[in-house]
Amino acid sequence: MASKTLWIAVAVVVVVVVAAIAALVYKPSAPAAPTTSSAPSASTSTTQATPTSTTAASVKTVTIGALLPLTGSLQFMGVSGQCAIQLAVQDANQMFASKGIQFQLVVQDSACDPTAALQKLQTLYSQGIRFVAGLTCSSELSAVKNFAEQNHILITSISTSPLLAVPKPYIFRLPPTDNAQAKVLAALYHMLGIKRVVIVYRADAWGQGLTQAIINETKKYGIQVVGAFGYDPSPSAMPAAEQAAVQKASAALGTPGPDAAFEIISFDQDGAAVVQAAMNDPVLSKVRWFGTDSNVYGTAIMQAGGQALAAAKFMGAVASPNPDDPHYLHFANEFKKFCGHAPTGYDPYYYDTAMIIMEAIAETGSTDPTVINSVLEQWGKNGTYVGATGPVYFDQYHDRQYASYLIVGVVIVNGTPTWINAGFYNGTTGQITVFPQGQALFSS
Amino acid sequence: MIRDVLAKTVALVIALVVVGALAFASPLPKDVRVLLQNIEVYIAIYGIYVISLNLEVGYLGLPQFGKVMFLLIGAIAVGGIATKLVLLIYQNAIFKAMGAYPLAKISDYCMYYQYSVTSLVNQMLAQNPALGLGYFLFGVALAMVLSAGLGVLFAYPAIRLREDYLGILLLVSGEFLRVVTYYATPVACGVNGAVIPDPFAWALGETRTLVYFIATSAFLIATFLVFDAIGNSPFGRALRAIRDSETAAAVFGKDIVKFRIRVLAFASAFAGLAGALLAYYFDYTILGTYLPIYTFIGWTMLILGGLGNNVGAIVGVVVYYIVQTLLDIYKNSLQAVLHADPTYLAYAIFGLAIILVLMYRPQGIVPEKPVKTIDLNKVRERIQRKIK
Repeated sequence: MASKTLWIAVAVVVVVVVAAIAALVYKPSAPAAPTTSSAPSASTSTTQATPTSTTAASVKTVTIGALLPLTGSLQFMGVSGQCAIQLAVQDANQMFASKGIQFQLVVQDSACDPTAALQKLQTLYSQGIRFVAGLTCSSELSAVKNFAEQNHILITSISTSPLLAVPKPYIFRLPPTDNAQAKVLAALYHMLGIKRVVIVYRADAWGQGLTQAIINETKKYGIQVVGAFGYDPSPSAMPAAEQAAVQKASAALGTPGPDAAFEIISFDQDGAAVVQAAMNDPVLSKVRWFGTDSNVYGTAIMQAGGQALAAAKFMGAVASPNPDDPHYLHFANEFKKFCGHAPTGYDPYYYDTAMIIMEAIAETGSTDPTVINSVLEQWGKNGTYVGATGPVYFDQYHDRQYASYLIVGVVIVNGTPTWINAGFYNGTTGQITVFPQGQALFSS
Repeated sequence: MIRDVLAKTVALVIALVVVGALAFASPLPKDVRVLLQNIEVYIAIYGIYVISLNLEVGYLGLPQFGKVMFLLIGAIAVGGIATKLVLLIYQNAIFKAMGAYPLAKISDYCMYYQYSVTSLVNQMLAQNPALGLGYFLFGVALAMVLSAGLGVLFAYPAIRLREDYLGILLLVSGEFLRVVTYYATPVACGVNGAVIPDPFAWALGETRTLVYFIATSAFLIATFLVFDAIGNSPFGRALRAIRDSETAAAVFGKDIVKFRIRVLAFASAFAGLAGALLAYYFDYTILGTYLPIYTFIGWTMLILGGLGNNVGAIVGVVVYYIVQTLLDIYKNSLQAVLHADPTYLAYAIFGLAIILVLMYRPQGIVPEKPVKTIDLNKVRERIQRKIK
């Protein structure tokens, strides 16, 4: 005979399940229009969850989702990206108010964990949300790919892994893949007469992918990668892992010289540990240094060794429109007002992940992901959408192509090491233009 | 005793049929049904995981702080070994289509070709469901065998030591295995993660979820039946005796180390099964994400549901998933009330729940009950009858 406890347990489960289903089926009513006069803190979610609906005042309310790493190793990107997406929603509500469309945003934390990302996407789906912006990690995108495809959820992402350069209906990636960045860096080495490069990289999917891409691209110019040394990027391994990789890199490069370079493939915090290890190295401290889109503009890396970065004529490339581009300037000003700091790295891409969806919805009047998927494919062929990152072209895999890069470096300004925009790589022509303030970095 | 176990199992089957019908064949809106379908699969998988944890923690009192290691081993068995076996089986067809053997240069395969190759393999598996089933069962069986073996191997150095040393060793072992395998590309494509061919590639859309729901539910029912029978057997009673007083149990001739080894091997095998199911269900695995947090999520579920009984373990999993999902949906609304960042709300609520449960109801939602044994007089009567 089953015990009384068992039946109590069964009853508890049934009651909880019924209550949960009732809560799921119940959709909270739309909240009042979001306030746009004050900037929310970068770490808070925005408006209440509401599926696509039409209010009494004939304003169509469309809710989009954002899946961002608000915790975990990429929290620094996710928090800033959340602010960029909130800004995009605010801008879209101003731009498309005349069309009778009001956008709302629901943010979920994916923690850069594939399991969590899929579960959160399923939760967003249950809320009637069919458009999700901001997915950051390639591993998350891999985990949600099939679910998004099967359930027609349109996703815009900032993942850059070449692994995902495959057919992926309903998924669009706004930044170019790491192969594009490798092309820029190889062109930069070539322009500066570099013949030998040693690489220290984060041993994660991004670091490994970019390193391999650089090795492939430099071969085309006859540049030799004399060694590539990975380190465990987890904070618990810092700074010993970075120091060990730097020592190996120094030994591999052997002798310094004007034809030699040190490439740092890192994020900001771990990049700081690499810089601290390399600035006193007898070999590496005497060659040029290069970075990537994930450590230029970094505050930690600058604090760790700004003088050393300037002495090594440190330069890196960030996928970006021309800094004089009016769209980018507008975004940068708005972002600074809204979020309280200048945009860095991927912020303009986060902005565009949300804005391209909302613009497509507003222009077509459709909230059908299949329709918007076709619209984005068409726009991607013609470069119709021009956002904070410039005109957006997609290739056959829905990945960004013809991306331009801003070359960013460190120079001493009034005695202080400072990030400057040193040049511009035109993605269409493949040409590098040196800005007047960047001349010193390009001189031998 | 047998009747009690069977009644509980029947109740579980009925509950699964009811929620399955609700998720797959009810007039609920599709978006709600899709969420329910997926939550049910997670509950089934984590149900197996937490039931196995319950045998170690709830019955034996083993400080199992390295439980996530067996989800990881399950993922390695599927993403690192079974997947390669399928690639080997189809390597000639892949060579014809793509001009390269997928495993000839594993780093290139992992970095560039996984999706193209897996897409091709899925097409072929869709034409051959029997092979798909074989591949699924092979991955599951391998995960169980590897988990059982490695579970004992990793715990062996401290198996005779006090509980805290064993707990620390298990925690460290989980992290050790995660870090080593995450940075070793040949294991399961390292930092890129392994894309896993779908053993049920013939089933598309909702049918695929239904197949996984049936498969995971069947494994959950089998796990519950086996673990509940063990828990109510003389072996299970010996485990409780060791948990309550190791010294007393040793005095009565129970070999504590042997019991620990058996329980570790048996429970680890089923945790490995959960890891394999999770990897197959996701079609993708990346070993770096098997962090200790997944061990403590299992502990949270078990503490909430109730230690030392398998019904409590399942109730804990159900309550955890439902609360977590509702928090995800309504946390933005709660933010307006709480005036706080909702990002860490779930962590705070589950942390608070554990504290409150441990303070006011340490036995959990479903308390452990004494094991029912056959009445001594009835045993004597049977013996008398046999003698006559």
